[in-house]
Amino acid sequence: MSQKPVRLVAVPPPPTPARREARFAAEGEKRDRYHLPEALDSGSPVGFRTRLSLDEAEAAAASTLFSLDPPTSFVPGEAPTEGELFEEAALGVLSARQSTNYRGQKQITLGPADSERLVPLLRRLQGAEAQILDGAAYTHVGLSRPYRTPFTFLLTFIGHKPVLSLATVPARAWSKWKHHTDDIPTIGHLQHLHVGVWAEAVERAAVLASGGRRAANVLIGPFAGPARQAANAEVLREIEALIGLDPADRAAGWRVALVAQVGATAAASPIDAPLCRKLGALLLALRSERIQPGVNAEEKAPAAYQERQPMDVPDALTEMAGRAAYNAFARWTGVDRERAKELLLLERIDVLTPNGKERLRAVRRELEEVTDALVADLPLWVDLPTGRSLSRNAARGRKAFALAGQRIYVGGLPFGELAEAGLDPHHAVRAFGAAAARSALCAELSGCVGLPADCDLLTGVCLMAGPVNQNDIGKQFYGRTDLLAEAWPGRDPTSLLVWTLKAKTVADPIGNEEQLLNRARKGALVDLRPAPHEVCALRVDGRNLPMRRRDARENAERAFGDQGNFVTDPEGREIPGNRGSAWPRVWREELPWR
Amino acid sequence: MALTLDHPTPPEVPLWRALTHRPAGFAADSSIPAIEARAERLGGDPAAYAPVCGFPRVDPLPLTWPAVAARGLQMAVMTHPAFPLPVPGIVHVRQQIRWSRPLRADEPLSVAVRVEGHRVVRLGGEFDLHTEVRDGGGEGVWSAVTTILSKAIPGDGVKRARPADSPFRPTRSTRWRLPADQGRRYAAVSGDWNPIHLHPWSARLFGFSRPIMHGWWLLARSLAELDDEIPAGGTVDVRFVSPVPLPGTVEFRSGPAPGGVRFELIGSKGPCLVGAFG
Repeated sequence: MSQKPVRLVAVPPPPTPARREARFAAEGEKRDRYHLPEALDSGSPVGFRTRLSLDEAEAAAASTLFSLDPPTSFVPGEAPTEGELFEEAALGVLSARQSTNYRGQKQITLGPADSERLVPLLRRLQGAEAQILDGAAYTHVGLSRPYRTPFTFLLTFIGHKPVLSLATVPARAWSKWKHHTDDIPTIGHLQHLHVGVWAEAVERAAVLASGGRRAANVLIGPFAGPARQAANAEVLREIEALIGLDPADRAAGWRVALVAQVGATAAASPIDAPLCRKLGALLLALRSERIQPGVNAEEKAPAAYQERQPMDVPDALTEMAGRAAYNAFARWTGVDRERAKELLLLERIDVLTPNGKERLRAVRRELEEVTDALVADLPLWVDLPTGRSLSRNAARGRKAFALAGQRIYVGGLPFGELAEAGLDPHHAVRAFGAAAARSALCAELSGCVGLPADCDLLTGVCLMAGPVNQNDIGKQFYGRTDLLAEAWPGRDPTSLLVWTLKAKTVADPIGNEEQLLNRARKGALVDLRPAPHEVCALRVDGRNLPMRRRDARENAERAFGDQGNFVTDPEGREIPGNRGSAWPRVWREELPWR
Repeated sequence: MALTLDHPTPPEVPLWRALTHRPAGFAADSSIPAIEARAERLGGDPAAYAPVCGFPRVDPLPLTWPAVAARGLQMAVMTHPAFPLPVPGIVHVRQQIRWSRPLRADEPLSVAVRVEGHRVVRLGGEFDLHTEVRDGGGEGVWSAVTTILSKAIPGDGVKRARPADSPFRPTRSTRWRLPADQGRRYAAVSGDWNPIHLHPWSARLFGFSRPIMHGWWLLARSLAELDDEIPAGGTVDVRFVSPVPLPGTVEFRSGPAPGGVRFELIGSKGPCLVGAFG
């Protein structure tokens, strides 16, 4: 058995739980991130959602999501409706990201006939981590492109001398633009980490959106990294032709990154249809939780954020989060679970212990020093004309790098040892992304077990690449060592992600999420959550039809909206536009590949 | 004396005729005479109309389609020499539609539009345009009462109490962004080329700082949003509270209310449209 059972660990709430209690700004009052948004104008299926409580039986059934095995065969089943495909996309490509959000993924879904044409191509691929199945009802082909945001723009100017950089910066920018070269290795890894997060999400999404009737056979191995892509080049071109990928997309860096064959399975799902809907709505509510009340709240934050809460992330939960990560790494690489535990390097920092406190201080200190050096070295010729926005942006990261949480995992890989295990490094990074996402989800869902009505959550997670990127800048330009070097001396580890686990009952301000959803408040380092038509297409009769853009209408439906988990103010008033509006039934019930 | 105008299909009444219609005038003790226009067949192209309003299908016909298809008859009535009021400046204030069953796209339908009399209200005079659609068997299957305010009739300045709208808990809440050309797009499929809906300059000629969206489109888009919540037969009543300027954003919300479904459009300055199914 490559995966061990994972259980969700209930977290006891404190005697007097606090809540976010966000309200609308009063007339004339200056609105800040702690107020509710005035409205939501978005085609995203997500919206501002609240967590739903799971009882023990539901938690036990939901925990099977942490050790899903790929299906071994498909059986004939009902054709998917447009509505099912939408909700599957909602849990997959449309929400499968954490705080580092960029529009670097899109999905083309093939119907049964094209899925059948795809099978012989998939069988010719090298490096598939699961067997290719016949009889898929449909197949998602996921495309990914290199990670590029204002943050990576900023990196173009790092590590240069004020005068010399006049020449080297344009050269580096050109190379980045034309050849997708990365300034630091971990920026290149972000694309692959996201593919792993996405692969995990697609696997769960197929189960939940079909009410447990379907499963996804997801492949990421054959598409990871230059070596695999070169070996599979001919087949990949044929797949690109089948999905209608045009040369402009290729030039922009889009490449096939994931294939998910989805079909009906004979095995009964332990998660029944009503629980699938509840979990679907719940997964859409999960967000990066950055604030630990009483630890890293701003001075202006309301009282609920200022008070320390007498609760801790249980040891058993931390252990299960680790187990979920190992499960996922074993699942996505195909290596034995014990080998997965050797290769997946997880440093656990228990912040509430003296050793943990000391270790956290050391990590913070190191990242602070890198930030100081970075800000000091930014070329003035670019920083001054932009109103010092670059150095301000770099300094703004300090808060995120402070790593507030009670249990922290710093994860990475020993790249030098991967070849020995027969793993392609890019494939391993993708599997690592999946592992981190599954670990985080385990903690997040645990924080919903027995959630009292007067709590927003019981545990939250923030999955971050920022501290690791900062550490990588230190390694590349300032001679620093890796965050994991001390824990694994002599193994040349490369840290890839950090996730902080927090026990608390007060969710982060909705203002943090608003950056993802509100066009007017687009965050500097994040992109908007897309509407389905922006990243999903259904391939019908040789044409890629944007999902949910039809005639003059675009999607306004919130997926799993029937569960009603929408944010309200303390009086029960909703955010205008947040609840959305169902797509017309006649379109929702259509069978796209009749 | 009732005037009756018969047409094979609703006629096309050009904009210039509406703009240049010179009524004889409205005497204080007179009223609007009975004028009726009939067409044997409801023509038009619902397939072009439906997508502009967001209707997901044309069969059964969109609930508002018969009124749009009958627009030529309504204009024929209001531009008839016996009609005593000018068309420019009239305001669509309320709308009621009743239907007994969904209308098939391929069934033969006849239509009649009738007007007679008026009521004095605070800001002017109101009159009702009645539109009635009959099926091939002569049975009335769809009817509408379009209430129009004309300031050419002196108002009495009396503010009348209106029953309060019952509160409802929204089950839908979404925002529509209306682009600047939305009025022109709707005009192209409905034939309503009233200048107040088209361009800033043409709207300014009639006293509006910005073009405003057609009331009929706002109603149609609302019904398209409600989709399968619309019963097979029933009544919808709508009040147009304030205009929706273009470009602009409005929130649509709806939810169950005693006896049916309530819906409303909220603009930046409050409600624009309030409606309910009975």
